[in-house]
Amino acid sequence: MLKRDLLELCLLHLMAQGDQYGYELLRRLHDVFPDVQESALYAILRQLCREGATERYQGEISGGPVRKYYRLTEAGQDRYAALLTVWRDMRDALSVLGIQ
Amino acid sequence: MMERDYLSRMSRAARWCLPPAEAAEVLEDYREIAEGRSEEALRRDLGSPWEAARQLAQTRAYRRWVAVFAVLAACVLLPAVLPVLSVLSGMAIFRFQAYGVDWLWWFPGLCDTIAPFRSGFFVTGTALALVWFRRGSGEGRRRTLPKGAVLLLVFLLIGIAFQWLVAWIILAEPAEILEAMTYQIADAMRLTMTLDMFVMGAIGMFALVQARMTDRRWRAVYILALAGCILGLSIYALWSSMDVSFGSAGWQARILLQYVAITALGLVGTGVSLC
Repeated sequence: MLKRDLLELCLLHLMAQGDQYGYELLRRLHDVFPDVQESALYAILRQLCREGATERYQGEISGGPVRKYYRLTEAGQDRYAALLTVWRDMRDALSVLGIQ
Repeated sequence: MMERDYLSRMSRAARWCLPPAEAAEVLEDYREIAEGRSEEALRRDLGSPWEAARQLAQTRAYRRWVAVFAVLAACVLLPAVLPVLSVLSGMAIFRFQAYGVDWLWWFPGLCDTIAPFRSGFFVTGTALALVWFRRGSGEGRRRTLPKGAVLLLVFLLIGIAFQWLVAWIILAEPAEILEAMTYQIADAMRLTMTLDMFVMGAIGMFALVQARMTDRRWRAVYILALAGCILGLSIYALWSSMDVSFGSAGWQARILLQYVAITALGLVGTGVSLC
């Protein structure tokens, strides 16, 4: 599992909690992974959109500006489940070796 | 102000690396992301605009664009640059031979080497520009012509008119002009024509970049510049030709037909490109 897959998993995980405002999504992930630039995270987010794992729509907060929100599609949920399985398998394999 | 600087660089990078519709979408997102951040914070959090744009580009699509750009650039640059290099190196060999410039001997021949392929350059460049920058490649329809494009088209037409004047002197051989023509005048004319082609090539390159980054109709300028360079190269090839078969009866008609075809195709391509 590459770091990119991990970041993808994190993005999908956040979106699995509910629809997310794009900018907020990038900031939250950047706070957790400060060494990863937001542009790289944005590139992953766009690729997920391109592949049909997520979709964007324009939403409006009461009285605020129109913003872009992201949500998981059915394909995205499958992708999320697949990445989660890979991640759990890897975590289990590492713990067998005693790596915590 | 700083935020705007970053965004303008991002805008250039995105429009170069991404197809128009995608670039517009990305820029809209970046405006939102960049809001209220300083240049320093933007650079730290987002990286350089070019890096960011490259990350967004799909590798295959971007490589395809770079390959198309390289072919289009070669089609207009080779016929634009080699004749002027040939003339200048020829002059240098004669005037500065005492200073060890003999190594330039192969330069004048380069132009004759590419001249037979000029139809290929013209057809490839025109067809590729028309197809690649066709309508519906993601860019919205605009009514007014791009700023500067009309001015450059007029400039190119003047350049082509000059080339036709040179062609007329060679083909019609008007006695009153040939009598007055000294070696220096002929040499100056040849140098002017090659410089004319060089400027046309530079305009063609500028138009090519503009067609990608601002408005696809800049391809009209590219196609006319290409036609000018190819017409110029054809005239140059005739001028410097040592082929004695040019002296046979009716040779002018054959050559004239070629020049008319290049000019007409260039003008038709330009007209189509403006639609």
